[in-house]
Parts: sequence; C-alpha cells; structure tokens
Amino acid sequence: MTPVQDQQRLAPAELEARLRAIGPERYHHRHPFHQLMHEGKLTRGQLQAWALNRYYYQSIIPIKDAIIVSRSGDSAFRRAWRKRIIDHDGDGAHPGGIEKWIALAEATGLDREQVTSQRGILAGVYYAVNGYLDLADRAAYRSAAPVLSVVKWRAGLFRCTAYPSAGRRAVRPRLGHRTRPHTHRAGTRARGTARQVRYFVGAARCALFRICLSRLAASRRVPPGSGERDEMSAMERNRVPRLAPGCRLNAAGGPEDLLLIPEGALRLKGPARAIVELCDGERTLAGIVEELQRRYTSAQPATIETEAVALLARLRDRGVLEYA
Amino acid sequence: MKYTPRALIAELTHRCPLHCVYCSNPLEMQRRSEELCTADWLSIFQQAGEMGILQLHLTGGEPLSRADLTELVRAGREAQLYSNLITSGVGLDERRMDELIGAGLEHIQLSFQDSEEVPANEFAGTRSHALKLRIAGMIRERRVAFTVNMVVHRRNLDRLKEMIDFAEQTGAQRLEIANVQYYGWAFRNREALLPTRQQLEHSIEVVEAARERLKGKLRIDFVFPDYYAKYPKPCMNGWGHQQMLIDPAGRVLPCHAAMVIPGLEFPNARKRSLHWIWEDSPAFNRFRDESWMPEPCRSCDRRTRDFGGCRCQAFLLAGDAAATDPVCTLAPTHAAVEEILQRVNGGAERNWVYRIDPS
Ligand SMILES: C[S@@+](CC[C@H](N)C(=O)[O-])C[C@H]1O[C@@H](n2cnc3c(N)ncnc32)[C@H](O)[C@@H]1O
Ligand code: SF4
Ligand code: SF4
Repeated sequence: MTPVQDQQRLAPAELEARLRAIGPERYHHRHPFHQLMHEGKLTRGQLQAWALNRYYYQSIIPIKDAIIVSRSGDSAFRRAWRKRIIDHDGDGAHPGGIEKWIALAEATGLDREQVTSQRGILAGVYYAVNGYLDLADRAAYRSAAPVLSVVKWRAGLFRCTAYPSAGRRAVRPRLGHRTRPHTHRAGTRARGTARQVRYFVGAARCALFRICLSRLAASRRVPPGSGERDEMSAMERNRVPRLAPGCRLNAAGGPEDLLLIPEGALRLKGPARAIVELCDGERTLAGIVEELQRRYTSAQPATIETEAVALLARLRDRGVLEYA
Repeated sequence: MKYTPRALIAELTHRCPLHCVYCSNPLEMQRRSEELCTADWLSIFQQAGEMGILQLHLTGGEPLSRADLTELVRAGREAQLYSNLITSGVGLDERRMDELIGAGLEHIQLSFQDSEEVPANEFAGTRSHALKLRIAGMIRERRVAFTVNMVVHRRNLDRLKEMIDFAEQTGAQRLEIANVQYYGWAFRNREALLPTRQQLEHSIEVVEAARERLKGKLRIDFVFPDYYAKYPKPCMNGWGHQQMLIDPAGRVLPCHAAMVIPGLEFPNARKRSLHWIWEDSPAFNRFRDESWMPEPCRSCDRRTRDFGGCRCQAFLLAGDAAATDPVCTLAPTHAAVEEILQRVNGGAERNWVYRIDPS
C-alpha cells in the first residue's frame, strides 16, 4: 500500500475506505502466532511468554492515553478520552484492564510478581512498545490522536483457547467487560477533524500496525517453557533437521502448500515450504539459514534467520521435525 | 458456501477377527460377498485425489482382512493421498508390514484394549493382546508414523495411568485415548461401558499430569465421553463439511454411523461419482447448512462451532435426526442423557454382548 502521506488530499469517502482497509490487512489476528493461538496450538510456555510480553504493552496504555489527553486543546475530547485511562487503571473500586491482564497471565500459570516485575520481557517487545509511546508523543500526530485508539481488543485476542486440557474443555481467559464503546472510535471517520488528519491518519495507522507486528514477531521467538530467546546457539547450529516419520510435503505446484502429517495437514505459507524442503537430513541448521539468505537477497539476513529458526522450532514442538 | 472434502474414511471390510464390546461398527454389517472389489476402490481413490482429499484412512472392520490391502495402499499413494492404516494388528507380520510401507503407507494406528493381557483379551473377545505387543515392536523398528489407540470405558478407565505408561513403552509418537463413542455395538452396550463421573474426573487429572510429563515425547489426544459434556462435539467437524466415509459395500456417508438415520438414501460409489455425491446428493446436503436447525441451536452462538452436535446421536437418543443433540445441556431432550447417567452412576454393572463377525 502506498504511504498515505505521499498522496494528494483524499475525498472523505476514499480516505475512509483506505483507512478501513488497513485494519483487515494488518490486524494482528492474521499473524501466525495468533493463528496458532486461536487454533489452540500454542504450548503453555508460548502462551505464558505471550501473556508476559503483552503485559508490558498493556501497562503503558494509560501512559499513552495520558499523552494524548495532554496534547488536546478540546475539553470535550479530553473528557471522553480520559475514560480510557480509567478503563485501564480501574477506579479504585473496580479493577481495570491492567489488573485483568494480570489475572489472565496468572491463568496461564505465571505469578503476579513475575508479570509486574517486567523481568524477562524480550528486547524486541520493549522497543516496539516504547516506539508506540514515541509515536503517541510526536506532535505531528496530534490531530490524529483518535487514530491511535485502533488498538484493538475486540474478538480475537481474548478468545484464545489456552492449551487444551484433558477434557478438551477450552480454558477461555476473558477480560470481561473491557470494551465500552469509545466515543471517538478509530478515527476512521474524519468527522469534522482538522485537515491534517487526512494526511496523517493513514500513516499513523500503518505505523501502529508495524509496531504491533514487531512486538509479536519478537514474542514468537520464545521457545516453549523457557521464557528465553532462542537464537541459534552454537550447538543448535550444527543440528541436522529432517521431517519425522510419517510427515511429508504435498506435491509441489498444487493450489496450496501443505505438510501432511498423521493428524491431518499443516498449511505452509510464504517461504515455509522452501524452508521445510531444505530440511533434507543433510544440511545443518546453519547451512539452511545460509542457503535461505543466499536465495532471498531482498530480505534482511537477520530476519531470515529469526523467521526460519522460529518456524523450525514450531515444527519441532509439533513433533513434525526431528534432528537426524 | 462451498465445502472441500479433506479426508476419506475407507471401511474396507466389516470382517474382523476381534469382537470388541465397544466396537462402533453398525449392528447390521456388510458381508464379504457385498464388498467392493479392488478396481472399485482404485477408482474411488483416484476420484478422491482429484477432489483435493488429503487423508485416506484405511479402516473397517479389520482392513488387514483384505488380501489386496498393499495394492490399495499403492493406489492411494499414486492418487497423492496420505495413507493411514487403522488396525488391530491381527494379520500383520514383518513381510506384510514392509510391503505396506514400501507401497506408501505412512501412518499406522494400532489399537490396544488394555495394558493388561487378561482384561484386554476379555474386551476384545479374542486372544490378541500378546500378538499386538509383537506388532508394536515391529512398527517401532521402521520409519513410519506410529499411534497407539486405546478405547477407554468403565471397566478399564481406572487403569488409565498404567495404560499411558504402557503406551509410552511401545515407542509410539502419539497416543489416542478415546472414550467410547456410543454408536453401533457400543450403543448396544453403553450401560456396561459408560464410566462414572468420578472415574471420568480422575482420568482427566491423569491425562493432564501425563501430558505434562511426556511433553515432547508422546502426544496424547483425549476423546471426551460426550454424554458427560456440557455441549456436544462438533461431530465430523460438520455434516458433509470435511469428511466422507465409504462402507464396505460402497455406500457413501458423511460419517460411520449415519446408516441408522431413517429416510436418508446414501448413494453408492459404484453408481455415482464421488464428486456428485459430495456436491449434489440430498444426503450430504441434508444437514450441511443451518437451515435444518431447531431451537435452541438456531439462535445459539455455538452453532457455528458444534453444528448442533451429532445427527446420529440425535436420532439414537431422541428419535429425531433433526433435533438438537441430546447430550447438549440446552437440548429439550437432555433428560434422556441425564437418566442414563443416573443409572450408570447408581452402580449396577451390566452385561454386554460381543460384536459378531459378518464373515
Ligand atoms: C472400528 S475400528 C476399525 C479398525 C481396527 N479394527 C481397529 O480396531 O483398530 C477404528 C478405531 O476406532 C476405535 N473404536 C472402535 N470403537 C470405538 C468406539 N465405540 N468409540 C471410540 N473409538 C472406537 C478402535 O479402537 C480403532 O482405533
Ligand atoms: S471389533 Fe475391535 S478390532 Fe474389530 S473393528 Fe471393531 S474395534 Fe476394530
Ligand atoms: S443449543 Fe445447539 S448449537 Fe447451542 S450448544 Fe447446544 S447443540 Fe450446540
């Protein structure tokens, strides 16, 4: 999508259409990590890592909203907006969103102290979240403030199936009342707002989604159970992965790329098929990454390594890949 | 909305050397003389591959009772299907196993009736446990995916921990612990098989502890006894949504129990193309969308997740295949299930009958 700021002023209807398109395109429910979560396929450790890291994000939301309030010269807007701070911090009598997030993290088996200490948060998450605060802080986006509220809780996030328990009773951590409809929603309607909105709103939304995705990309790298990063250790580098018995790729060139396994099939997206093909029982993990870096010259080498290692770790957790 | 079939369950035969008291096969079974021939199955697999079906489950009865099994596996592989053999193991030896794997068999699911020989043989109505143990050893030595299946019920659920330890010893990668689903012979014997609530609760704890302990080593699937559930299972992931089953005589069904439903005519693969049956046959379309749904399903949020439960169970328990699955606690007919559970939890062991071999 072309950055909105490079374009001429848009007609309101067109602006609205473009803004609405950003969400479905970039919303984090499309992220592989969230998809695994919805399918109930995360391990307990991965779910914990997600809850822990996301807590850091939850914890800064009132700070972000306070920044926004502090930039507005419109008292009606400020009055409406400060409800969000209360939503998150609670009002003293009723717990707010942050408290509920802690409860959710506890439901995954973490303890409160662990969560609130903010120890163990991944560096990538830390920077992404701080980046979000910076974005809110930058005056250029002042009039686009409502846009920042696209931060999205609805549906997806809370409807996760926490690791299926024996009874297949889905544990459904829900935050309860959370969303009261906000008066200034999403800013997708440039309702009477200043002209700049038309220029900035789209860029801000894109920036926001990029930040959210980098936060997820970071937490996806957490191996189950350890709560630590899984950069390829020296030992890992020399391991030789191959498909486990009874797991194979479907015929190439079909309508979809699938990894056939005893329980069914896993859908492979983007370069995933190429990565799995390289797990031929001959190449080392380091060799696979090098080969991918040679092939995909337009992507950052570090990103390639992260993505490939994360994919292979997931497949190994799933029992689909083994070390020869 | 268009549905893509993903799995074909091929019930190659109803013949079986075992007589499991929990067998889900229908009471009225097809005889050998009515079975599809090799060429019929070859054509079916070919059509299945063309329709985009991915998984082929070779089951029965005992699929090894078919002398042409290797040929069928090869045909499945040629049609790009992933082939699973669901078996009691009776009829396997090293040579046949190598032939099957050589022909493209990718996964073997071997059923055990218990971890202990005496009760295992009692539930199977046959002395087969010792042989199964040897078969497990043979599978482990080969590069083929290996799942152990154990059907659990009132008479063995208290030994679940031992059964899991046993499965771990077999060297399988997966363990499927399936509470009896009450169809066919199992429905006939259900009062003798249903576990008590206490047994069930304990078994859930056992499974959870085992999952934790065996993480990364043995995957454990647990099939819940839906009579005790709050909401029904999403049976077959929806009627005619993903799977089709072909019985030994070639009748094509949305699931293995659907023959019990009166008034539905299931087309035969000898006469019709799979494509037509899947897309256009009245039987596959009968419960496909939501238009058949009565209240409370019609206005229930869960209807897109459980599809109102199992049609066969609705017929078996409520006498109406178009009723809400009576195991659902919201169903008007739920009392029928409660009543059975009360009897079961009140004590009173019952006798069972053994599944017969249609020969
Ligand atoms: C009907 S059997 C046919 C294949 C083969 N004879 C065997 O027993 O493995 C298919 C699978 O379903 C399991 N099974 C049989 N009856 C069942 C029931 N009532 N509920 C759940 N699983 C059942 C068997 O243990 C087996 O794994
Ligand atoms: S009697 Fe047992 S072994 Fe035979 S088909 Fe039924 S479940 Fe399988
Ligand atoms: S009422 Fe129908 S849709 Fe709702 S939970 Fe029960 S069976 Fe499912």
